[in-house]
Amino acid sequence: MDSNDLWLEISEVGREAARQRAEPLGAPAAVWRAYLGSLALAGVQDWLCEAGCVARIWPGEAALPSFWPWVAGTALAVGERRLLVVAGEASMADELRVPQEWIDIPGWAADYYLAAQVEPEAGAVQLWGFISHRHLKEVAVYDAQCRQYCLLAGNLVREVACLPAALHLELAEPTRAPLAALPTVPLGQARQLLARLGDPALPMPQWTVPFGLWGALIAHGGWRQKLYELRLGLPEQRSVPDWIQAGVSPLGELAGWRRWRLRAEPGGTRARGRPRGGPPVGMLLTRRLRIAGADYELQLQPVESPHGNVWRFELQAAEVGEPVPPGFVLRLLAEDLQGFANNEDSAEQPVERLYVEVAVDLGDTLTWEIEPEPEGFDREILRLA
Amino acid sequence: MLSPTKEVSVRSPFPFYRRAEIVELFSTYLSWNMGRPAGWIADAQLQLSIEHSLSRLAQADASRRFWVLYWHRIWQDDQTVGAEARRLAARHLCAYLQEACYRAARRASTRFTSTRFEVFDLFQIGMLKCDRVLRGFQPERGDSLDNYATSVFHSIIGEALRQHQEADISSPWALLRRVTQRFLSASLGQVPYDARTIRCYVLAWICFRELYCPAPRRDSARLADPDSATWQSVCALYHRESIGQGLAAGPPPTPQLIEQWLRQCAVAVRAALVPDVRSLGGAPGDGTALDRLETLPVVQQPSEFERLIAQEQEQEREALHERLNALLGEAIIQVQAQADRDLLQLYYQGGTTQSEIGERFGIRQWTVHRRLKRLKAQLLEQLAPRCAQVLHRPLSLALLEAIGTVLEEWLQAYHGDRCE
Repeated sequence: MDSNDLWLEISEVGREAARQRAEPLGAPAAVWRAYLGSLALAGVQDWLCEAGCVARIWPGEAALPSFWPWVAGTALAVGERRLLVVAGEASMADELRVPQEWIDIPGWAADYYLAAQVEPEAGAVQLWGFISHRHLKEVAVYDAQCRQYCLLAGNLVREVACLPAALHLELAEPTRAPLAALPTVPLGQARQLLARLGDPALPMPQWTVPFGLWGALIAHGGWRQKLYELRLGLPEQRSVPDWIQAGVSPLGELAGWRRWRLRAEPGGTRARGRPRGGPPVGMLLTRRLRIAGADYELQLQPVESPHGNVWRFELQAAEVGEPVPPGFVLRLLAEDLQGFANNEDSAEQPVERLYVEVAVDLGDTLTWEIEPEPEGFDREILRLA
Repeated sequence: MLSPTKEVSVRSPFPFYRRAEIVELFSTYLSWNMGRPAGWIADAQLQLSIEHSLSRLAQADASRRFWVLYWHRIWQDDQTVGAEARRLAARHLCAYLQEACYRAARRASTRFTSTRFEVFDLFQIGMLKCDRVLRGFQPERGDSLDNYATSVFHSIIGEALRQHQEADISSPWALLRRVTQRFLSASLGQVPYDARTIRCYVLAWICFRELYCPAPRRDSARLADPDSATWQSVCALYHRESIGQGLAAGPPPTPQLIEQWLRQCAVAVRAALVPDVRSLGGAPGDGTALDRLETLPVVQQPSEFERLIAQEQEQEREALHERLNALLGEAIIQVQAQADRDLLQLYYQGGTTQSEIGERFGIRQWTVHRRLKRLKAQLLEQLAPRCAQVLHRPLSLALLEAIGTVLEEWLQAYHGDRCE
């Protein structure tokens, strides 16, 4: 146990947590990748924390299960930088293979890639080198069969003790290479692809479509999530009318959605709360968000309207009386990220709330986004009718 | 034929004389006696060659760095010089790397937790992979070959020790999960299989690895035999992918065939994991082909410009060292906790293993290892911005890495690495 490599121990508690995180993923390959990934993550997060780096899972804990079935690797946000931990079980540190998704999908690419060799039985993780995205693009060899970038051990910075400094300090060189945009996938094609690739009997579905198409599909958080749900054979998880009627689905809850009953207040305003005898006049869905260091709440509720089926999205500060600061934008988009008329509300000056109302037809789906981007933001597709 | 080797007198007490002259640096090999280094053996052919080169090149006063770059350039050059010259260059560099490899072997022998090999065996393991050092060395980054080689030899030795442990894994399926694609391909190449067969086997292995995974609770080192349904799905995936890869020929493969291929993969990997290191003893350098020296192709001389660049790099490296030494002296004093200072002292003065340190401090070896790494990372982070400032160089990853290397060396020197 020496040399430049860094060995980290994973406690039995950490191993158990990794098992619990991995086992619900179903398919053995996904479970195993998740297990290795979690073990590596446990070690790396502790170690970074000791080195004074606060590392947060990117995009968020809830998104991990929909990454691991397709690609090895877990991204961490460390300040403004992103670090990808590539966990492998091969005991010879002679090459590092990084899935192409983590390199070529612009939204996924990281600043640094860290090689972690996991010894599950021994409960140990060895960190044996890292490299920047830019350098990786220069020296790695692309393997078209596995869609991986291969690096020789000699290409990596083997002194892992340099990594905290690289993450903390402002380096004079760019860490990322420029990337080409992925093609846009029309909604119809995306749905066809999802139906085909979502068949759990099809092994390694990503190998059956060209990378550009696959990358574009999976880069969309909602589609990535949908594919995961289809392969697990889960029933519809994102139907808002179902949430209102029967309660938020497990995956909706995992994303942070909660359902509340509204009741009439004597003063005429409506306040949220558990029913206390009074007749409920409606239902409200809320999701807590952290944006630019403060807590906010995204609310979603049906609105009575002569125009048919109308939903109202509303963003306000979690703290009563706090305004939404200038520069904030709440925007609704179609599932394939196309805009439409009156789809956003923005704050020019401090405002009490931002809201957008939208009339929907049967089968309509939407996605929302906020500027600045909330912490741990992962795009979700909501079925509104 | 002339006697190909001659002993060079050992000029200083044990462990061994440190070579200094250009001729001996590039033409002598470490000789061993009872598993300990006993002195230097000159390879006559190499000696003639380096003397020849010294007299032929005007820069006879050039530094060792010049000659390292010179031979490395020739070794790398597969366009203008012949294979013979490249082999010769490799042997010169091998001779040069003896100390670095010895240092790495010695460190590995005291610091790896369990080892059934002696320093001599570890040294041989390292020297066998000399080409990996040469391949990875990037003189244009200003690295010194000595530092780079020591750290690479150390990883090579560490890997080999781990690999020997791997080979003890009984299940072929578990073994196949523990190899990299690169190692598998190389193992198959050693059998040897032809290129097409290797591609088929590797693809089968990729499909197997994707579809046959251990469960988190099971002991993956004792992975059981896949059932027939697994073989069928591996076979189906292989069939689908082999068409895309242009590897499909004749009737589609059967699950039995795929299983047989993978068993053959495991056999090849096992054979490659345990080369018989102990039989490789003795002094390298075969001493033959002495007469061919005169007919060696004339190797290109580095141009004056390149020589200047090399010198400049050398100066810059030395400047880096000097400045760093001063900065490090200050930084180390700022390591406040006495326990941390003791830890660095114990570890870097050499000879004390991490588990022994752990016993002394009443903490576990893991904790020792981790704390050492943390201290190093701290020092590095403290130093890096000041180094960049002092050296008037932008703070780059390469500079961080260079500081890391110098730091390691410095910590050893500071705490007196007397146990060599």
